[in-house]
Amino acid sequence: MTNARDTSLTRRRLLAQGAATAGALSLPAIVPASALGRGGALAPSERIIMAGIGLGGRGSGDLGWMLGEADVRFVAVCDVHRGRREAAKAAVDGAYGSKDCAAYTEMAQLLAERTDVEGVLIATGDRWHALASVLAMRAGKDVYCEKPACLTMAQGRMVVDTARRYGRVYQTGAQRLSESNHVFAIEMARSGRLGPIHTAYADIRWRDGANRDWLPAEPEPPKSELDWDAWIGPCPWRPYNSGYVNGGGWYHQYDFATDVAMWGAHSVAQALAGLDMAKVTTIDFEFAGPDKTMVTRLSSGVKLVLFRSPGSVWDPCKLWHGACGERFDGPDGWAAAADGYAQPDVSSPALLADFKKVVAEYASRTQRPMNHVRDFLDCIRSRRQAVANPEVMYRSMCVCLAADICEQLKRSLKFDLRKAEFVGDPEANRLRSRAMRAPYTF
Amino acid sequence: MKRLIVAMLALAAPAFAQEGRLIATLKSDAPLQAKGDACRELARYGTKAAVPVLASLLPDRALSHMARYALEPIADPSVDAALRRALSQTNGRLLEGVITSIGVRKDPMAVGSLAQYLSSSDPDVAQAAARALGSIGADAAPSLEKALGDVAPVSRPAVCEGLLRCAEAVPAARAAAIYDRVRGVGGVPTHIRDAALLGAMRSRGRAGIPLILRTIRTDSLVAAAGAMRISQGISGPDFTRALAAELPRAGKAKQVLLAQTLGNRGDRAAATALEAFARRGAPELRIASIRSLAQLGWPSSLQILIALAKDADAGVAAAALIGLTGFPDAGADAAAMALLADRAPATRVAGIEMAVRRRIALAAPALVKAARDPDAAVSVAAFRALGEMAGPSQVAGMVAALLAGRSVVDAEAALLAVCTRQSDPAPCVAKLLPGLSAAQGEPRLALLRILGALGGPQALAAVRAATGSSDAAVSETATRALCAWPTADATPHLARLATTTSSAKTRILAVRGLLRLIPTMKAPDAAKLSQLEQALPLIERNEERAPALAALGRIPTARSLELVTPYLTGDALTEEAAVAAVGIGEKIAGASPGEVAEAMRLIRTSDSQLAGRVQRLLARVPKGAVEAGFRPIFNGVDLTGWEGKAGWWTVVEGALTSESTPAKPCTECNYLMWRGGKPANFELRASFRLSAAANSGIQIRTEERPNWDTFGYQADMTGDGALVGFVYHHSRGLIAGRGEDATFAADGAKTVTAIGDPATLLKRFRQGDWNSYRVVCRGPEISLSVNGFLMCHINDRHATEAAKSGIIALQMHPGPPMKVQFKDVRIREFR
Repeated sequence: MTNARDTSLTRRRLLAQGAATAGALSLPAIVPASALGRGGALAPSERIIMAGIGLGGRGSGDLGWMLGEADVRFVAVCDVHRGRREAAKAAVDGAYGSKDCAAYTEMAQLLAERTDVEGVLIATGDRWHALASVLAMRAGKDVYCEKPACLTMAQGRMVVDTARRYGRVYQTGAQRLSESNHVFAIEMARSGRLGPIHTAYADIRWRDGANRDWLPAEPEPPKSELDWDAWIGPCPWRPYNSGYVNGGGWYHQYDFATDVAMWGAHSVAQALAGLDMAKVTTIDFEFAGPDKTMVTRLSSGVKLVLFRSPGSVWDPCKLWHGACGERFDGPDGWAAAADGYAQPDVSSPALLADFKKVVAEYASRTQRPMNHVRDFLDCIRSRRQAVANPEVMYRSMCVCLAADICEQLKRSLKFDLRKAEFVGDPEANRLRSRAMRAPYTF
Repeated sequence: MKRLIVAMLALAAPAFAQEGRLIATLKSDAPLQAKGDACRELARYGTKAAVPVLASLLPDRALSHMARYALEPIADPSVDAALRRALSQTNGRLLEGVITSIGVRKDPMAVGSLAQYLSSSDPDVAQAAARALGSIGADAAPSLEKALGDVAPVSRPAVCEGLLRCAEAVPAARAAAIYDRVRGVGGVPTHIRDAALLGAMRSRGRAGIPLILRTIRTDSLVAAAGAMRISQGISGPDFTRALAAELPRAGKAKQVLLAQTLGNRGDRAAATALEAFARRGAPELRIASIRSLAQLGWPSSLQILIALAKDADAGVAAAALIGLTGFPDAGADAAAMALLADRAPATRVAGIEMAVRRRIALAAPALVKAARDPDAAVSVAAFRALGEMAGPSQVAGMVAALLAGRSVVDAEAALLAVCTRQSDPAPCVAKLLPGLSAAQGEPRLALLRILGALGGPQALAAVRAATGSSDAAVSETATRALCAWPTADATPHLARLATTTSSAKTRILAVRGLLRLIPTMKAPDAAKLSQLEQALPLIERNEERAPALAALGRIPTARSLELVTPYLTGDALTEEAAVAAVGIGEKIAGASPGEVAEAMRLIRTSDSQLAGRVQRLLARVPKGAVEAGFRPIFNGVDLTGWEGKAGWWTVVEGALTSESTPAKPCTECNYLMWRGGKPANFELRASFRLSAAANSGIQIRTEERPNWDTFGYQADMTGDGALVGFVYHHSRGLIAGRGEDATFAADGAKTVTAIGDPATLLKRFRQGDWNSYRVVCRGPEISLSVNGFLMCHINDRHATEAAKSGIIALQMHPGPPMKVQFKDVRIREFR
């Protein structure tokens, strides 16, 4: 997601991470950067060479996060929007005290020319996420891509296939999977400390991508200011209006965004991470009415509640007092986390006594840093799968997009998670993909 | 079943009709947006029927994409035929789109046509064809393999992509051949060759082991890392050992990756191999090996990690500590205990950190001992650990350590944390008290603060005793603890402290304590209110008035509402007063509807939620309930009950009236006396109207003097408003101005604080019109309000001048011609 909605959380999140890191023992980097480099040749510096694609809104926050990592060097940025391109270049140059950052208008040109670039940060509008990720990985780049990672299940599948095909590292920006409060809640569920989980909750209180109307046509800006055709990319063409481009106005539009999945991408990955999904074959989505909480039943017997209530996602509700929350209920208690929490919420304070132990055991078992960007960078070096790897992304986006389709069709659906198809509902299955507009195709 | 079919037909019928409309739209001259919308709908439920019209749009520059959008999901084979036909009807971008859709639909019948486009002069078309062929899979592989050598270099990566797609769709042996073909081709970027190599290893299973090992040994880091990742799918200790054997001869970076790979294998053979690499070698490899050992979690690795936790290399030691901290086996608890007893202070600190993170309950006694450690860092760490983990049984030991003067700040925080965590702190208090009698200096102060935070009778007695200490620091700390006492049992002591202390600061703290605690007392509201009313005169600043209003708001009685009411119309604290008044009003509206209604009408709040509560409350109160308890003291007709200087007072227009003219000047003051009594505590209300030059006033608690004169307090007024809202007194002059709160001490010393802006308050007065005065006298306090707005307040404790009761009278003043009028005069006396 690349708009202002998430940026207000960024500073708080960074502060929280700073605090978490300061308290922990820290380790030296595990692989010397010089060991990497394109095709096994040594990189010219000890740093990971990165480029940024589409860095307005949320992307500027991600860029700042990555610029803060000492072993990263951004050498190029790309945006079809001149103002944002120049702002991104200025941010990079400002951070390095130089004027070296190259600015590209066309992604294809960047990917073809910059063989020195090892990783790309993709924070375009949602409509471009999957395509940009696939093109970058096909060009041999590792990818950190903002959420939601795709507009359709078909796009998500292509991301999974391409990452595997080329052995690329891919991390979706589900950064809460690397935050200790969420990790604690997830591990409390996974470890059995709450007993067998019977209900999990994920916050999907924001939905905003169902609009199919066009805004009034305005004169198209010159290509040097904004390449409108490229901006639309794989989506259906429509006449230009500045309202789509500015202030994240695109995210109201069905053609350019997802609906329920947009906010689901903020929370469902955490909810699934706490559940034993290995044996789950199908999920029943129960449509209870527009904008109502959606109860889903996993074939394992667990209820996954996609929770809604009126009001802003930041308002306290009966499950959380912050946005983007998940919660796990078992016979022996419950644990929950959401944004802005000083510590996770638990059914009894005794559960929280093990907070450090739970997080330390997680870190030991997974060898993950509690820092989403750092995990991606470490994986560029170690070639491990990142914590929010393509499979994690795809499974959570399938659940989110299935909820989207359920909401569109206004009926209950059964979804086969392994085949990624609805059972006995051809119309629902047809909504799993949208034809992409040439030349912006896979 | 029959019912289901009927239901499905019912659903299908409207869809059928809908499809017809959509097709018609597409055939019409509807605008682009409408046609695009129709295509989006057809993508959901369009059928064979829609294919012809959609196919006709494929060559349409504006609608080709939306036609594909609708066609791609329609299962009918006529779609494939239409797309194949469109190949020859389109070019450029549109052709690229059609080719892509054929790939999405995996149409094997299109292989021949698509293959021809591999040699297209338009590279975008050629590449789209290569990828589409790849999506079709097995049937397309031969043409792609053939093109691999022929195709223009710029399109070769796309042909490779196509072949990689094919390989994923065919049986393993065929796939291996395709992968080998791709990695054998020259002139493709390394990352594509790597991709083919990955496939070549993956498709071979165990038979791929030699290739995996060779790749690790000889190839780029990306490919080697890929080989290692693939190796994880092949289990068995022999392969583990083979991977381990690669490690010594690998380059530095690959060594690290191999150590991680071994960690991921999970078998015992991996741990055995890693243990050797953890002990010696380059730090990067040692650290990676340690991390992997921790990940594997074999108990046999514990001893090595314990030894490495004290390694000379700081990075190695840190890795071992982190590894031990998160080590999955309970045996690591013993390691922490061993570190706690180590000779090196830094190791002891590390042991403490581990004990906390692993939450080792058995370590508590050792932590208590460590709290007295001669090394300050150890002591601090131990106290912090105890603060997180300790229970009541450690409190005595912690107190002993505190008394030893070690890390007092951390000790205090730790003890406080442990004691407040308990549901009943009394047993902890019992363990703190012996320490208090033994402690001196900072530890003593710390214990007093802790006791203050915990509360309870024993703690209260101890802290009270300490307030009398001759040691100034002890006495001040104890006093502060008392003023911050958490429970209401401190109220009587605070009340005494507030009235007896000579320190203004202590009085403020005590009053704040009282305001906080009185509402929490387990006592009838009347008792709480009585306590509160004793505290209110001690308040001198708005900083305390605000909590006083909040406290009143928590005691729902008519009297507390009355005390709050004057603040509703002041300049400061109106919002606080409003919150309190509404809170009280909601509870007592049934018993005292009049008072509540009156107070609610005075509320001016910017808080819309509160305003809503006011409106709801007013709606609950029956009309006519206003002014309960008042009686009129002027009948509106004649001077019954009043007596004044002959010729000066009459009743005109239903009002008590006095007027001077040029022909009949007033040369000396005279007053109209009310003969109804000498009220002491009461509320008086009246409306008054003054000519522009008039000067008058309402006497209260006043002595009658000969010749129609008086002596005492006057609610002052002038026609121009200048003196409206002032209290005048015959011997002391203007004793409180508009917007003032004046307090007179017994010796007459006057202190004034502002409660409002005089100029703003003056605007509440309407010149030449009727205005209302409200005078409230209770005990030493008198307040004046005009038109519902608080003008001034006095607290008169003057030893000789303050009057407790007296007559009520209205003034006629000498001066230029003037007219003064009063009506609706009524009184309510307080019992």
